[in-house]
Order: sequence, then C-alpha cells, then structure tokens
Amino acid sequence: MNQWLVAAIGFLVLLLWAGILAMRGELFDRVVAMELSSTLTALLLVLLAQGFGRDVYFDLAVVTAVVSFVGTLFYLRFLESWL
Amino acid sequence: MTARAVAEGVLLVVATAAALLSVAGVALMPGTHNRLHYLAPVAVVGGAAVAGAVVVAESFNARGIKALLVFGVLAGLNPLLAHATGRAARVHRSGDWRLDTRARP
Repeated sequence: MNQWLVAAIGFLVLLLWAGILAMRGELFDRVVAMELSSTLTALLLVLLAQGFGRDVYFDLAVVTAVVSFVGTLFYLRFLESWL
Repeated sequence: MTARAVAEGVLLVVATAAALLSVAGVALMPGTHNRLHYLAPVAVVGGAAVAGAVVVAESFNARGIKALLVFGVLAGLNPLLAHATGRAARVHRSGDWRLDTRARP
C-alpha cells in the first residue's frame, strides 16, 4: 500500500462522516453535507487513480467534479422553488 | 526516501488535514450559513495539495493536467455553489433573498 492509498483511506473515512451528516439535521444542513461529500469524492477519485496507477480514474474524477456541481445547482433550484 | 516522495507525503497530509477541518466544521458549526464557510478548505487547500502532489509525482503529463483540472473545477465553482446554497436556504426560510422586500419595487 502506497501513501496515495493511505490518504485515500483517510478521505474515505471523512466521506463516511460527511455521509452520516447528510442523513441528519435540517434540510439545508444536509445539502451542505452533500456538497462536501461530492468534493471529497472527486478528490478521493484522484487519490485512487494515482494510487492504483489507472489513468481512466482521473477522467472519472473530472466528470464527477463537473456533474456534481451541475446536479447540486439543479437540486438547489428545486428546493428553493418547490419544497 | 527521496525528496519527491517526502514532498508528496507532506502535500497529502495537508490535503487530509484540510478535509478533516472541513468535515469537522460542517459537523460542529451551528446553522447552514456558518457551515457553508467550511466547504472552502477542502475545495481550495485540499484540491491544491492533491493536485500539487500529483504534479510533483508525475510532472505535467496527462495525469498532472487532469489533477489540476479537478482542482480548477472544485476551487473555481465552489464559491458559486456556496452562494447558490446560501441564497436557496434564505429563500426557503424567508420567501425572498432580500433583507426587506418592501424597500424595493
């Protein structure tokens, strides 16, 4: 196990913590935890890509970062207008 | 252990510490708007440290450029996301994002 995978395990534990936060509390506190989770996921994919030496995981990290941003904006618009 | 490996290790520790600060801040701070501030450390400091570590390891090849791209997306779009979330939370709570809707047409 190299240092990239050790850091990835740390990020995974923090992602689990953020996931638990996304299941508790008020509505927008959960949204903030979800946004934090998507940021952690993108960085976790970068660490895993480097740790395992797989180039394709870097593409996944880029796509995750962009798509999670767009998805969260749609979700916020939905919450703001209808819920 | 080479100087490059040490630099990578230091940057990864910085990234993990920034992520820990963000998660702890979101967990412990009261209120949505206070928690929003803690989205920044992991996106900016954490993203920069991870991308920097990849660039130290790989230089500016495809991996390094993609890691920098992830950092650019996270750091560049995080303020927009924080603003949109704060605005949505305020509209959800008050019905309007302005302080006093009677003072404006």
